[in-house]
Amino acid sequence: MKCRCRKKAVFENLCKVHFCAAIEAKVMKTIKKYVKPTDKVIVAVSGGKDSLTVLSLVGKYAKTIALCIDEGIAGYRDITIQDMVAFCKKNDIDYAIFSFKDEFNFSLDEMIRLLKENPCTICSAFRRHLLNKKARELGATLLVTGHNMDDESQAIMMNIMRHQLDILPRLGPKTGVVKDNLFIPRVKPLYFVSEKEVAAYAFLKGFNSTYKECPYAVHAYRASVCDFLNDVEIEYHGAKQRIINTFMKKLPILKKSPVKDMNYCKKCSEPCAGNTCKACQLLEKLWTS
Amino acid sequence: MKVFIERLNKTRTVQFKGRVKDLLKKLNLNPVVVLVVRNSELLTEDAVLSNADEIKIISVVSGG
Repeated sequence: MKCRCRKKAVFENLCKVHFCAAIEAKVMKTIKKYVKPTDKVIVAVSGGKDSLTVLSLVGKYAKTIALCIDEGIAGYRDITIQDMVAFCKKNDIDYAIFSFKDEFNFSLDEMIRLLKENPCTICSAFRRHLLNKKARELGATLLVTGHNMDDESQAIMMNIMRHQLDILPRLGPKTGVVKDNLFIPRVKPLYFVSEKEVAAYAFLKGFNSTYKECPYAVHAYRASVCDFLNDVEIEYHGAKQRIINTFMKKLPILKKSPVKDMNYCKKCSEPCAGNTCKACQLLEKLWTS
Repeated sequence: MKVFIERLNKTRTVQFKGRVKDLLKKLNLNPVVVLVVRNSELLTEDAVLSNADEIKIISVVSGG
């Protein structure tokens, strides 16, 4: 198959040059829509292909810092962090790494051994807490993440299937419904780019990202939804894109839903939905276990 | 044909010549979640493979 320029196609009907240009144009459109030139942007980076790609592209638009959270997953995060550090050094990007162990006194591996909770529930509570807190301490006005179209279509379907309709308004290319000085809004520049497109772009650009699977991923509800959508996509090409398109059409209406006021955790003062944030609830269980 | 499947970290030897999409069917792999590489070049699904090729199949799904 050949590209319109007659060069050999590498992804669908596009050559390397035109494919990369198309991805960059799509991502830049999202960045320019949601990121002001005056924003102080911090990019959450794990060392995986998505976060390296979004770091590279956001870095073309604004000076940024890579923020990495080391959950403490032996044989997994230590390896992806090596890729993150190598990438940042090669591209002269400042980075900061914060660990669960230093911030909470327990690695994720230790937390999972001590708590009888789904590993992903524990990980997400602490990671989100730390990302928001550290991004704010670093002076961010926006936190960028590498979530792509596949991640987002999964999130939409998961929340619908769990009937968690109050979460839907919080999704979208820019997250957050309530404005608060302690809460750093998040932007997802890869929102309209499929996971396969991101992987192809990262490969063509030579982003070195070691393939590793989180040992706890098998516990995730998301893994089942991911497999389901990927199977549907074979028969009904474009299904994930249409989930996103439908959601984006309805998002303005969803965002008008009544929202609860932001609360602040009585233990750590971080913004949360209830009286105590999930991270502090779990920490209390850890210290008493 | 030697086929390295990244997700399994294994190399398989298969008898095959034909298009990439047919190789993926033979290996029971979902084309939505993989990239196929030959000699560091990304291949589209209609690219033609020979039995002497060495292929790498990269998983696009994030590990976390």
